[in-house]
Amino acid sequence: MAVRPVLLYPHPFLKEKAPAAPWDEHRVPAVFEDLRDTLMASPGCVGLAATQIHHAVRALVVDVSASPRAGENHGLLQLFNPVVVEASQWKISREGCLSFPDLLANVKRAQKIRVQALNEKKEAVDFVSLGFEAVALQHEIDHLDGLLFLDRVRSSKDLLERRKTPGGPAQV
Amino acid sequence: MKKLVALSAIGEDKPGIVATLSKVLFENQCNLEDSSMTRLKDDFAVLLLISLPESLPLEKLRQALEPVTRALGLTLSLRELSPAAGAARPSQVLNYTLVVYGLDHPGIVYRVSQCAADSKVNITDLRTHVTQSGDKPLYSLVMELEIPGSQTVGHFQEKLNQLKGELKVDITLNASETDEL
Repeated sequence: MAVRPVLLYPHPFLKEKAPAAPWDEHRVPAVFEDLRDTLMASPGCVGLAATQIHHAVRALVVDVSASPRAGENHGLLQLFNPVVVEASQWKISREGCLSFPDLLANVKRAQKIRVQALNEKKEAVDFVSLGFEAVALQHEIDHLDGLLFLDRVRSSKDLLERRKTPGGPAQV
Repeated sequence: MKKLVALSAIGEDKPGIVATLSKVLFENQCNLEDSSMTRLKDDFAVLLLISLPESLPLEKLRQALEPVTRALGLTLSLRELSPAAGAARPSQVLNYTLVVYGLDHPGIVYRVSQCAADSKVNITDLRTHVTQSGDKPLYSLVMELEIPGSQTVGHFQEKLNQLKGELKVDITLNASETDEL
């Protein structure tokens, strides 16, 4: 078990793009293990990108199944080199981020995406994700490109301070 | 022709500020044309653009407002706007949003807004937040901008890139999106 500390902004690593690289058997499974362990150790968290735990690898995990906002979902997703190949049904929703504990932002995301990636068994997967899971996936894929949710804010009213009340938006 | 007046009032926040001010305006047949009100730490700030009926001189409105603003502890300012105001603005502007964030330190707003002013970029809305990121103070700022022409966008972006390094902050300039529904 390896729970890694989640990097907080302004850690410079969060603004770096994880390089495109082929599957490395010595590295990718270990990164997935760190991602899973850290995700499980972060209450309310529905997704984590490898760059948030200081790995320059294009890997992420998403699991929205325990969230009240979940809707239709795939349970635990472990994706390497994920690419969004289709996106539609754009909608603005409120997001939090483990790397910005006190901020929330209203961000426009596609509610329906088609994703291609390798899974944790190095199998090619190609699936459609909807709603909250799709939003979480886009947020994490952005992380792999060094893009943070603040970079997607499109109006001065869309950046908010997180009120310390239970049951706020889920962290992705 | 209706008379437009800018009203600002600021003072310690308490329940009833908006209700009391808007009651006086309502009773004097004034219309709220535009408004922005928010709490800034422990103070409440009111900015209003109101139109007055022709029969109401500005001084009369001032006399009606002063007792209530005094009772509420608000600093009041009233100013009549000239009908020609805004006529000198460029007619074709591009709307952009600028997000700046990084460790809090003095000078961020000054340097970024000066950079905008130098490029004749107009700020139409600005909000800032100071929050914690672990044990560090994080400053974030979102500006809505009017940029006069696409050539200015590129030039402004270059200056922002330079500023980003100098201020050690992250800066993102995005075209504001409008969804036509």
